[in-house]
Amino acid sequence: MKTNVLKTTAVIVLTLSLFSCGNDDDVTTENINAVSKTDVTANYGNIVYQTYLDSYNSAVDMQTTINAFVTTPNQANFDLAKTAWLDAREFYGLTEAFRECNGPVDTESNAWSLGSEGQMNAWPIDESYIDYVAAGTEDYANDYDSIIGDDSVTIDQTTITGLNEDINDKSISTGWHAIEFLLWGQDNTMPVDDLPGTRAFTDYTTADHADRRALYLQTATNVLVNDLNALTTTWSPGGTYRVVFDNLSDDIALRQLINGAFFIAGDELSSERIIAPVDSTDGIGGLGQEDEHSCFSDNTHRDIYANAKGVYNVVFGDYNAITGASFYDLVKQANPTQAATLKTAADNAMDKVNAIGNNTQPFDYLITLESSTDSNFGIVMQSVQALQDWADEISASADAIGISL
Amino acid sequence: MKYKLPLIYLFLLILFNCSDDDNYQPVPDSTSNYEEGEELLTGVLGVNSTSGNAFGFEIDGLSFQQLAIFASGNSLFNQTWVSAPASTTARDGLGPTFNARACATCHFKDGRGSPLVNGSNSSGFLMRISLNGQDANGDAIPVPGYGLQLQDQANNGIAYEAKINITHEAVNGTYADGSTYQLQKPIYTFQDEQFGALSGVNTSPRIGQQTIGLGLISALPDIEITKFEDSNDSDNDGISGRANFVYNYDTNAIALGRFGWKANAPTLRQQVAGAFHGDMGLTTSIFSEQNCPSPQQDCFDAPNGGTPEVTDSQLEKVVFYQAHLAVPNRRNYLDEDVQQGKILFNQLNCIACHAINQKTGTNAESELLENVTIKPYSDFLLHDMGDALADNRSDFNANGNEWRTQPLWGIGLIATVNNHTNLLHDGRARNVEEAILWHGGEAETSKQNFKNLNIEKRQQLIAFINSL
Repeated sequence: MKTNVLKTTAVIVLTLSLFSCGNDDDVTTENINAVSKTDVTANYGNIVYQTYLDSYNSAVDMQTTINAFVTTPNQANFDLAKTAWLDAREFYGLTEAFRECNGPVDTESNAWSLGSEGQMNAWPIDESYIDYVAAGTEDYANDYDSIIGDDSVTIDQTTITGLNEDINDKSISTGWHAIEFLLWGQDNTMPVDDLPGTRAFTDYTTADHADRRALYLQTATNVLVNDLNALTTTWSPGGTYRVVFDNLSDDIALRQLINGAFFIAGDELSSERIIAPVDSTDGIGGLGQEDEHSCFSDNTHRDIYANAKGVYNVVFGDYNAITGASFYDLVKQANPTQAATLKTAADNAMDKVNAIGNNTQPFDYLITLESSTDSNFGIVMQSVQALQDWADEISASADAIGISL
Repeated sequence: MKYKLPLIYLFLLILFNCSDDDNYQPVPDSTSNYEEGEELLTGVLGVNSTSGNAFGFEIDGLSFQQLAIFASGNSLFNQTWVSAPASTTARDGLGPTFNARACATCHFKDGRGSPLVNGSNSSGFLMRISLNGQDANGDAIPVPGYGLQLQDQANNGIAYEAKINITHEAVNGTYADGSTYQLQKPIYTFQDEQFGALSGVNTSPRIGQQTIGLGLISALPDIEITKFEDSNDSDNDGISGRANFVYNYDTNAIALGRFGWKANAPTLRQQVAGAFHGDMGLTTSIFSEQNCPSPQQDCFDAPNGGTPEVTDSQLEKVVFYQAHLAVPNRRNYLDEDVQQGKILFNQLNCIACHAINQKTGTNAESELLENVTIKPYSDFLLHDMGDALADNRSDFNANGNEWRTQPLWGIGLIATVNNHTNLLHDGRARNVEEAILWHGGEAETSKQNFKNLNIEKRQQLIAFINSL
């Protein structure tokens, strides 16, 4: 079934105001400007599609620069490839708010499931699974024959996809962080030095296994681009999952989309991606560098911002040019006081996250200044607190519109 | 989530927007046996997830500080331990002999391990061994040179103990309706034994279980388990069920066993410390001796990673993490097939052992876990499961035919989380249907009744189990 969402929305708004008799419209039957749950889920569908599309397009740009670098390996092209990776991460981070929504990215058991989340963004990685590491930096290095260093392993999409998470949850062979490692190399400097990994471009020219490394970099990039393409396609208007989503009952669809926002703010971002590295004693000097999300490129501060912004987009129904009915609007209709609290918590969380995202110091340095048990929190732990408060308000706001997470 | 409406109906909904599905209170049809809240296996503590991380969530309501402990415990659970000495002193001490380098190797994404595959390192499989008899504590007698568990890996320069091979024998069967099935009986053999022949020792193959809801099992008062005991089968239903009483190495006293395939661990703390020790070669304050049975001198002389290697603070974090992993709420619970399967589950008396509605007490890892009514679908008692499934290795009071009833919560998500559907203590059952067919002993009647069902009803029962 192909539905033109925008047209449908217009029809629904009209018919709602004409024939409204659903009990969730009781409060606002008189209000011709009232948004319905259907408006909200339709607008959300547009946002998901556009965000995946932007993520896909930016990944294709990265793929182009990486191919150019492999064709002409020099410092300038290497730098362009790294910049393209950083640019593309700005979009991918936004899409994580679509996880834990019983959707295609991280389910396995439905016909429309793609289950590609772990293949795209698993971390932290035992980098010696993929390539050489500097002597003495990784105690587990002898656990693995690096794939690149083992000539008996064919480097193609099927093989490296099959090897992902093959031994344990750190034996990662694909995705953003595999590509990141191949571009930056290990970050073996102290956080205070403010340096990311310092892989030389000669790893792709004169170093051992240079050709295999180049092939690996291209192959991992192709896998990622294909995965993002599949997500974009299935969420496009008339796409396989988009049709499924459009046919869900309003409350189920809403519960799913709210759950994704709740999960990123209250769990994945605040806990796994901030508290864990703050308290981690892994890596150089026991400073937790190994447990930050983008540890090779030192781009974690931007990952954190993008994740939070993705949640904000879902809650307020806005993404770049797309603007429309939102979860927040529904809350405002049902309980203006709760909506105001939600807005305050959201803006506070973004302020605190921006303090990390726009900081002159890298995240791996900031976490060395703090612990989760400090009596006076620094900016990193303040952001955790603000994110978890926001998640609590997301949950309370869901209750306010009759949805229990 | 199956909630399909005919398109025309949807269209009408859009037009008139007068549907009951705006209330998200699906109205069960007249034939439905839906019971309010049946999908919430742990009350308000459950999590709604259908993703590959479904077993990895904390229960709702942890304080800020508790969340930090949970997150740190999660990191420790996932991290790879390394051999000593290492620059990262917080995680050295692996081995010298071991089965796995990380908790998450056997409990990948907090889920279910996989059966043994020849020639590849374990992803959740291990072999317990012992001689006949019991020691002063009632525990099993170690095999000289090997101990109570075979470690098939070791640090550089140290001998692993042995390797294990697996072959399969087909076991054919027939349903009452004439359709046939074929089970795979695993047969294990040892090779490369480094410290003498292992012929004739008692063996028990095991795989790692999903680690959800453990804090709730911890918080059950003993009576909530022992109340199901019927040692002499006084009600003549063929099902007895008895508690295992085991040794608590923390308190040096006998206590009710509740964790592990044979309920041989009394507390979550001991279960975790036992896994650190037996599976990863890491000492704790509970099990402080290096796991190097004589004559493994190289193992004994190898450098260690501190005394103990896993500090009490680290152990507590892992225990806290394990105690607070949430149980996913059920999926598809309104499907008519699932509802019919639920009825069959009761009619076939599966519910006799796979029991529900126990209530936790006030002795818990945190307040959140107190006074919660749970539906684990287990009585946590030992049952004779018949000769076909027996490991013939006793474990405290559990004899060679007895197994602890496995809780069924989360069973339908193992495929999503771990990409396989293998079940039972060594993963021999390739799916829920085969797991049922392996039942014998006290479960023989239930199994026969299952075999007498037509295919539609068999599928309904399986659909119900997969909704858990």
